[in-house]
Amino acid sequence: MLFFFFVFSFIVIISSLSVVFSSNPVHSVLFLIFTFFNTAVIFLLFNAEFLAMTLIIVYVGAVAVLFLFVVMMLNINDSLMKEGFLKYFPFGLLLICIFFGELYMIFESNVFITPSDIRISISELVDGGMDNTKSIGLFLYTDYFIVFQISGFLLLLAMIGAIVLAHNEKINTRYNSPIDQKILNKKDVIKLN
Amino acid sequence: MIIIPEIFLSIGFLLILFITPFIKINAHVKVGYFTLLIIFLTQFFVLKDIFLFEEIFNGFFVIDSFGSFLKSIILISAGLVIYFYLIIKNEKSLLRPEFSLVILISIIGMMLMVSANNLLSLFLSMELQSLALYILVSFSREDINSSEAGVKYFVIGSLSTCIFLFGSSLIYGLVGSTDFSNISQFMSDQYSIPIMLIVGLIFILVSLSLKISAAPFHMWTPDVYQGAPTIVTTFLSTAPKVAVFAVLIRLLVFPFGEIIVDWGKIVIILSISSMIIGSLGALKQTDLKRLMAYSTINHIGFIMMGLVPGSEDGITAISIYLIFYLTMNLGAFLVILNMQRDQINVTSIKDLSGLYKNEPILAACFAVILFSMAGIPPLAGFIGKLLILNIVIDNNLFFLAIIAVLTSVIAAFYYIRLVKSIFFDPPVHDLDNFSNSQSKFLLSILSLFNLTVILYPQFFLNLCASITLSLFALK
Repeated sequence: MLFFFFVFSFIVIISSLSVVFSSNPVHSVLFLIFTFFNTAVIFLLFNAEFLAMTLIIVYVGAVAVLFLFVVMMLNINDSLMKEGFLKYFPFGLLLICIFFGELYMIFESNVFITPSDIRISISELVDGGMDNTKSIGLFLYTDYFIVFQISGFLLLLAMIGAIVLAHNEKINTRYNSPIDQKILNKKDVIKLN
Repeated sequence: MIIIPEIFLSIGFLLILFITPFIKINAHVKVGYFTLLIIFLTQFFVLKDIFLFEEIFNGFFVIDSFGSFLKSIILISAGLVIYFYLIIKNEKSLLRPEFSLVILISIIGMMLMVSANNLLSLFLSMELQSLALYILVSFSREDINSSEAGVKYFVIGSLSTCIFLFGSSLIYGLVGSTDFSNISQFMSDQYSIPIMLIVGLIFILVSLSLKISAAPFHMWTPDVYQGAPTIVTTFLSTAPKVAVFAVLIRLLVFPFGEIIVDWGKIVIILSISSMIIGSLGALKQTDLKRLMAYSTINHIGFIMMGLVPGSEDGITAISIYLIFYLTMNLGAFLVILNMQRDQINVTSIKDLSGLYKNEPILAACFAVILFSMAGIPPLAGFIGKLLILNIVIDNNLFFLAIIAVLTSVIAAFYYIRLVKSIFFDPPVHDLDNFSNSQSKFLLSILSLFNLTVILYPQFFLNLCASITLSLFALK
């Protein structure tokens, strides 16, 4: 188990470094997808199969494919992007230091509560023989039912909004409406002799 | 029992959505009247449960008199906006049935916001209402300003969402729950409040200030108000403000009531800067909608002062001020909506000049509303300002009261400048006639309300006091 964890973590690190350093943007996106898959495997090793599934469905299925399309359409010139790398390097290094410092402080301090204090403990449920997906579903459709419904409304609104903002009713297309043809009177028609 | 008004509104929304594609002729008018009917019926459900107190859906929402009262105000103002939409000549791109539908779904979001009792449900309902508002702002597709305003509003709104989420994640990390009652339990158990919790609260306050356009988070307001179609601006400046104020009151006074010393200072700074920017920024504006945006910022600053003591009287004063603010704003925007030349809505201040010559009664009504906004006695705006100032002075915040009075005097200048241009300037270009009698009727009712409130202020005072009493009873 630990052996597999190290193997897959190693692959994740290598492939995410390749995302940053590969010269072709399309390769970067493909490496990103590879990273997602390996991360999903790591989740699976720790019995978090729901996270693994959502990672593959949402990130690989939707987000990364979208990235791929955008990268293909934009035709990015990477020599331009690498310009000024040295100029920004010290600033980047500073940001990395700050970020790692913050991470260290969070892990050292005990300001934030530990997972055992949380009201709903998924791990207890999992130990009791329920799997991850089932217990999330149980909470989502009972305790969190109303929140789930509101998110449904949010998605419906997003759909209506997309249609309102993008749908264009064209008036001068050459479409013949069957209803108009049927209710046409004889005297309205131009007669060609 | 449970949230019947919201459920009724949602089912009504889905029904109208279902029948909309089958209405061929004049769909926007018919859908608009259906929406009005649904809102009218919902009002009964809201008022029926006004004395109820109940926590529902595992504490995700709470039903109380305060919430029901603000819901009813939101419904009235949104209903009036839809009625304005129906009686006024709109530009062609607005004449689509989806307009009233999107307003309806945003009302659902606001009503859920008012009764939210959990950071999670609050977040989702706030998103529901703001997503609807982004769509409304960019509704007029032919107009490039509307799209620009839509993009600006969307970017700023997403930023505010991110900040809100960050703040609530910090609070969740410390407390272990997003429920308001658990948060307040955590506060009372603690000897010293962890600094991270205050940071989280500040993030949430910043996000709400962005939504309510309190300075220094106001920068989107003038652009969005100007670019959006005028009917949308009317909606934007009325109902959402009430909803966000309800959230502010519920959030600050209850779960975070223990740390009033910390957020009190922030609210004081927000209100001072809003009043100053709202009064000084409007001085040089030439567009009425931009001017109204700054006037809104000024009013928001004034209302926020009532929050500072976190007491019952303060919230009573806020509720009363909100009612008067809605009547004034709806009246002023009704005039702006009717300012049309060759069927096109014009919003420059110059276009107002000489209105008195053409439409004396209308000009008088508008003047009453403008004077009320400036806070000139004995109009409604004066009573609102008086109540809030009274609260502020009772709590020995004299510097705040002095700034408030000074900025009100500055703000009075630009309202009175409008009145001067209506009555004394020679007409430059003639506007189209204010042909529709419904808007004249509504405008005269609104201005009459502003005029006569002085005769029965006790009614509003008692009403709002009893409403707020229910809010504090559960504490």
